[in-house]
Amino acid sequence: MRADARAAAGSDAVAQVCRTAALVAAAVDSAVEPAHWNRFDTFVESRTRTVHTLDSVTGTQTITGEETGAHTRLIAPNGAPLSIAVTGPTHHLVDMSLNQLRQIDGSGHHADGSPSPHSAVRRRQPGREPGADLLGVYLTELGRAVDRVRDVVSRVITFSELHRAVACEHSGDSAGDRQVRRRLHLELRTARGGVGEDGVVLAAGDELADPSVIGPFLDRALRRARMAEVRAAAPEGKLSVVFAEATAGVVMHELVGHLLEADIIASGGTALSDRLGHRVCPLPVTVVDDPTLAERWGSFVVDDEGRPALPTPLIEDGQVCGILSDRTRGSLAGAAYVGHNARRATHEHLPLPRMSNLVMSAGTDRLEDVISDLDSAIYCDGLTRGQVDPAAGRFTLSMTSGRIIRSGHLAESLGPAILTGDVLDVLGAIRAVGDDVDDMQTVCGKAGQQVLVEMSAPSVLISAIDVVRA
Amino acid sequence: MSTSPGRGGAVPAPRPVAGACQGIEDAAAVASQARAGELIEIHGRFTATTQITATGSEASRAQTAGLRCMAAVRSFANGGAGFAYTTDVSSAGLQWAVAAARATRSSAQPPPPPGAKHVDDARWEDSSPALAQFEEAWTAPGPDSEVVLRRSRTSVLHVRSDGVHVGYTEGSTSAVVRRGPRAETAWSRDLRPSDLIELVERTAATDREQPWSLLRHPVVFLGGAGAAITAVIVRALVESPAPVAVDIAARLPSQFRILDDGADPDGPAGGPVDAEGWPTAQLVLAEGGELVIDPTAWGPPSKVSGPRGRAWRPDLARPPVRTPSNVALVADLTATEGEAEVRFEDIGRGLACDSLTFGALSFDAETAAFAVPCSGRLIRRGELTTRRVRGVLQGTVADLVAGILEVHPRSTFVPLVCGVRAVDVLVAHGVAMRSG
Repeated sequence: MRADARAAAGSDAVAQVCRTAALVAAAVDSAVEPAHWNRFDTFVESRTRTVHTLDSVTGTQTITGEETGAHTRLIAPNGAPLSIAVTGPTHHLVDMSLNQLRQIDGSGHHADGSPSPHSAVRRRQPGREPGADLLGVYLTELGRAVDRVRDVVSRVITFSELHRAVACEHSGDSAGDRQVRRRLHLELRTARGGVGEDGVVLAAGDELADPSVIGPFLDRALRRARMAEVRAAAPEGKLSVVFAEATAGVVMHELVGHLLEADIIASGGTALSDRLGHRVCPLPVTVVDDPTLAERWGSFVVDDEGRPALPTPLIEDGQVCGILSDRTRGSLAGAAYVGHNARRATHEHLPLPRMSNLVMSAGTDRLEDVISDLDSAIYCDGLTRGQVDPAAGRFTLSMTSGRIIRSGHLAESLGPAILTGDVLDVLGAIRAVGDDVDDMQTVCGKAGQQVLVEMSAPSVLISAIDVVRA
Repeated sequence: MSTSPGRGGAVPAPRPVAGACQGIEDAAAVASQARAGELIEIHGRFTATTQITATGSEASRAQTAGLRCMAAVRSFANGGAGFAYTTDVSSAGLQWAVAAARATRSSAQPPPPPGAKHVDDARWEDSSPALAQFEEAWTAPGPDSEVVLRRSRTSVLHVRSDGVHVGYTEGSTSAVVRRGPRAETAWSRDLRPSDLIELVERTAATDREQPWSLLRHPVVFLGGAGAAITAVIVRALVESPAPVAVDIAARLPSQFRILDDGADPDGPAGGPVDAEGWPTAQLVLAEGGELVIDPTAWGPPSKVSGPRGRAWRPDLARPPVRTPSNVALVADLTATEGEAEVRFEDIGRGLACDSLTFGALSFDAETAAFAVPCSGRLIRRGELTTRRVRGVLQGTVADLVAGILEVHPRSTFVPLVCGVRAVDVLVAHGVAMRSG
């Protein structure tokens, strides 16, 4: 599809969800008695998703689908909230919302049962998308390129594309946004059992066939797989850990970002919210959540409550300074910056303060110099899950790949391990920040909601973390 | 029906879902429009939910009502399959999904044979009392606490162009009590207020947890922690290379079995038929020191062998995959000599683990080595103390199963990656807790 045609389709999609949000909002407003409920906002989402998978074991598969729904929040005079979430045909969202409302509020509504106004439903025509044949040819070629590597025994290539149009109506104001996410991912396994993977995000205008966009990622996946072929057991105890660029972003995401989300702070305070305005890092570390970055995995123009996106410094020169919040939770004493970060996994969920693109600024240290100064340590270049106990400040990170650092050099690969520690202790133990920055995209789960996030960070040396091998 | 919000305003049970999603009655008609040589399958789920969340005090009681309609379509023809999903379950929406599934038909996959023609099974219905009857149980759970009560009712419809037309309704009620870092969950098709009271008691304030190490001592996994450790074992049996899975099964003492029962209505997964409309049945994963179902038997139905009736979808946006549904670690009746629970007096020193953070599990499929944060109470001189300790539990699944001495299943399931039966498990050796 040509770029201008894509843009037109995007504005059509936003206009349609805005119209639907206005229809649902008007219908609910007319159906409730203010003595019982007042509508807070109405959110409408329409998403289409297509995933192409080329699996050398199970074959080729394409799945495609569409999902539309509305979520209306109401508040009773005593402050008690009520949510109505419906998923179904666009032209039935009004009826479905009123139907659910009637169940909750037996006396408050005065809907007369007349047919609801239907929005015009526009949908793409079934059939292959323009360019789908080219995409299929390219993915097949890519699969052949991987298969030509002699020791690769299996591989899965996935190309996914998500189009999400959202609109939120609040106090008569309506705001909409459209987010497009395209990603190519490769996972391969070598004959000696090494598994490596890599992914690349494709911004608008990037084409799969551009070798400068996707070329290096096959090499990276191969390198990781071969490194993983022979792995030693991770050492245990309190150790220095160098987090590779991007991987350090996961650390900041778990240790800094989540502890400065307003809903978590409201549930009893966190180790970092108690330190607003205070220095927690000995180095001039800066961490900013920035949804306004163009074409990034966690970007948005307006958040899922319709408020404009803002870059929000969370740590500035080593000092805690900001929080991520939403309309209902507002600000916090001591917070110099308050982000508009209401995000929902889908329209069925209530918005929560969430991170978007978390960016840690580069330092001045060269990674090679940092490693050469270490006698015995761990170099961690793969983290999957993380968990943090906000109030106690205890965290757990699952290391999936890493290497031992011995006498200033990177040595053998390591098996999985759990890294644990105290948030404030670990932030206080940052001893070096690299001049190298890389980013990674992932899915962040919180309270049962999965949202797309990105982390961008340099390599970081932390002088003491508890390591327990799996 | 409630007339006002707040305490005392009862949230009603979801209405019967049938008819709530207009247009789905056309599914059979849409499927019947299959072309010559084509099989169309439409799998729809229509879910109504109500939820009450009480945070800290009754003043912040929130209600949610949801209705979700969705259908997944597969088109089989010429040895290939295509897949599409939609929330537009009107006739026009389903026809779009059929056309989209045809357009994306690529994977080599023959149509599944027809399974059940008809299902008449009420065992998946929810018989829990109205949510309002749980109110007394959550009275003043504490300022740092949250209680979430959720009831859902789903109508499942599975129709095919060859005349298969299966439908059934399932329902459940769940409760989650969070207090500080601790969370306890109960899920049932017959949840009682007393279950919620038990959850509130289980999360009662306790001593601050101390970091602790226990290297060669017995560990008793209690309830939800027992379910989580069962899930670790099942993960190894499903994801590890076959030789590793075979070794794990061989080291499981012969008096214990691991089951997968999609036909058990007490479990949160499963149903009278699976996602391909095939009748479900109880399956044995490991028994008598043998691995009964090989790891290669899990995955896309077209690529794996083994018994049918175990294809499930995590959601309707994905095609069915053969995956465990309701798993349980069980013992022969003679294995525990009639004991109903683990006797702490037989354990000199050890850990009673009541919390295992499954979401932070670190697992190496190649070796089935694992590490997972845990917490619990110390056992000293045969008595359960009040001292709470925490650490990281570490070992290999093969060593873990070899150390199992006793298994006492409970009546409830815990929803994890699949449904897992809560169980008390005594492991004499094979796992270590490291301070972390």
